[in-house]
Amino acid sequence: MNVLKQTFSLVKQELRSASRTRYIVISFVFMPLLMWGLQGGLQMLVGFSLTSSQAGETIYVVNFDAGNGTYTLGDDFVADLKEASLNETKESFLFGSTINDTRYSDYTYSQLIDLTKDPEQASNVMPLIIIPLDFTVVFDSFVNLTISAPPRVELYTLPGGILGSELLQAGIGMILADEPYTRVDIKKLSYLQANTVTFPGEESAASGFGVGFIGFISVIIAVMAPAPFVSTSFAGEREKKTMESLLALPISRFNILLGKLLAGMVLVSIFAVMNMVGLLGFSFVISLADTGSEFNAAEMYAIDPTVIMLFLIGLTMFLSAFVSIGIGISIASLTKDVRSAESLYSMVMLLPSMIVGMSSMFGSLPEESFGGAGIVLYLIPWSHAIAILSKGLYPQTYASSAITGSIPGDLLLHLGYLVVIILIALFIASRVFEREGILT
Amino acid sequence: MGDNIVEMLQINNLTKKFGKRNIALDNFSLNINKGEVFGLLGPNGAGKTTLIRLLIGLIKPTSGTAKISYNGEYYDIHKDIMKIRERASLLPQEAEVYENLTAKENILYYGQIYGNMTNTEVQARTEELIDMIGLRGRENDVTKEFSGGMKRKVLVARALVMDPDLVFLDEPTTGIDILGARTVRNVIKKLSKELHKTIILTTHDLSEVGELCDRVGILVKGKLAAVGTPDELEEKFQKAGLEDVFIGLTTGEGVIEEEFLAKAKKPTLFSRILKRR
Repeated sequence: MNVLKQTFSLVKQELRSASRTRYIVISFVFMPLLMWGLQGGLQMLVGFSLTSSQAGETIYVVNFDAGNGTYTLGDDFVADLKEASLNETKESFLFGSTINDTRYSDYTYSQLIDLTKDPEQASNVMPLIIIPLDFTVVFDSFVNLTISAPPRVELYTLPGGILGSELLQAGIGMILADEPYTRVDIKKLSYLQANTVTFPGEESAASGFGVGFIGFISVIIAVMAPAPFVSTSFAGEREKKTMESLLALPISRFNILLGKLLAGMVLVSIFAVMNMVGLLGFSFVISLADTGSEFNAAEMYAIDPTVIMLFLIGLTMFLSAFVSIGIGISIASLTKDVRSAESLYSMVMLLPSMIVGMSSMFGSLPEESFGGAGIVLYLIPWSHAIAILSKGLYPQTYASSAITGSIPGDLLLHLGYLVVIILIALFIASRVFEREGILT
Repeated sequence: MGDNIVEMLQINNLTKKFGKRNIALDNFSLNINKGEVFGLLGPNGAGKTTLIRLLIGLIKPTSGTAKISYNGEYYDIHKDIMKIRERASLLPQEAEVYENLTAKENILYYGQIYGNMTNTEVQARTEELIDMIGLRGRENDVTKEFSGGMKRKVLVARALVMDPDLVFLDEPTTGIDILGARTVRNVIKKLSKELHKTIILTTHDLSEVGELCDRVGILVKGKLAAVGTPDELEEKFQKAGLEDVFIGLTTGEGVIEEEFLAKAKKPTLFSRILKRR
């Protein structure tokens, strides 16, 4: 008996069946396009609707790098902030705000931090930009390659002020994109990092784990897209009473499971490719917001879809969706109908994926959060997919916090974890599928 | 059946328990000959479907064994289930077609899964079955649009695609119209009389039993209460028809089969104590 031929026939039938099931086609083909396009449209609207979110806002700046007679890079930066807030032709997001660099100039660093942590005082001191004491020294050393840690300014914003903090950060980024901060050929915010603190007392290593919305969107659709397939392919067979006849054929249950999995892999590959196409669509939609001026929504949100980025997006989506399929098979094999399977799937999968998604949008790397305790987040498989995306796209940003000491090592670690989870999920799925009770 | 009677199926003390108390099949023993159409009767929950599932390997027996013979070789359900399935097919009671496939695709799919035919052979066999079962003209229609009877025809064709030697039909005519049932019965007759297939058939339709079956076995609470031709059973139980035999055995009314009674109702310690008193 030709096992390969049998398995291949099974894969063909699953794919044929899937192609004729509209919900599966929608999930794997159209949902990625829709989500990326919607995200692009949403961010384009945000960009159009906001000319300056800092108008009327007072931004406090404390420059510990002040030269006091000698001109420093910190002084230069404060001057650029003030100019951006006053000069309309700069078209900065800081235009209209008031840069106050005197109010807290006598405070020590620890006093400022305490203020940001005090619920009664926090709103009086934030948004706050702190230029550290050794800003100029660190910058020069970094440029001269004598140190590897990049210089940074610290930005503290009020909790919940997502758009405000983001545009403030973007406004700062615009300044950092200019000389002398770009004496070395660097990208905006890649070397001179803004530490965005959204909760008092919590510091993050980088400007968000998971590149903002991309991580959130990626996780959610990678988790939800496989739901119709696993429900239909397993619980659906029981509901529609085709399971018993299938199991009575001269093909082992393992091969049946393998055939369905291989079909799932094909669908997930299509899904990954559609995400790559979706990302290109996202970039196109965002580019429609390009007003032609130097700084605008397109400049702020645009992603340059390089080959590496597209590959990483595709890989992340493939692995995330495949983990979802692996876990989903066990869930669907325990239920007797499609509706129950989809309900149980949503209950089990949504919470951890939302945790990862929200963390990726607003939080820092898990290994840097809550004194390192945030690493527990890595128990959830999709956080590793997001980590692959983040560290692959911005290796320099995350190099200093690499778990294994290097970005390539971290990428292998995250990839290995996903593969292990997939294998464990498939093993459990095979045990569930082997039960006699699957017939009743 | 002729002089050359060959045993195809030997079942020895097959038992299946679900959990600790639910004995679905209790020391079931039976031999079935090659080319025989054997009817299994019994009330709901008697163990008919359990027996078939055990023989095709969908579930494992608690104890006992069964062997199926193909070309002089015996295959044990414990060890050779894939070999058994290569030559046996099952049409379950609650089977359904793949509704998003056409009738032809449904049959082709199973033919390809069996794997012992080339694609050309599978195609040819599919066409043959479409004609045999009366699906010509609808073979390229998606089965979602089919009536219950049409779907059952597709299922029968699907079960026969690999030309099995042994066919398990679990209530093949249940839920279909008279014409559809007639077609299915004609197919069963052809399989038996012309093609000499061995068929094990479960049904609630006693007229079907009389029309199709060479022998009948009556299952009651997991035990084989009686086995024989319809005429033999009527004579043995002194009943006018198979229906009365069936009712008598399942309800205990007017049963004269002492051996069965003795087996069915083993005295417990409590009842023995009561009798002594």
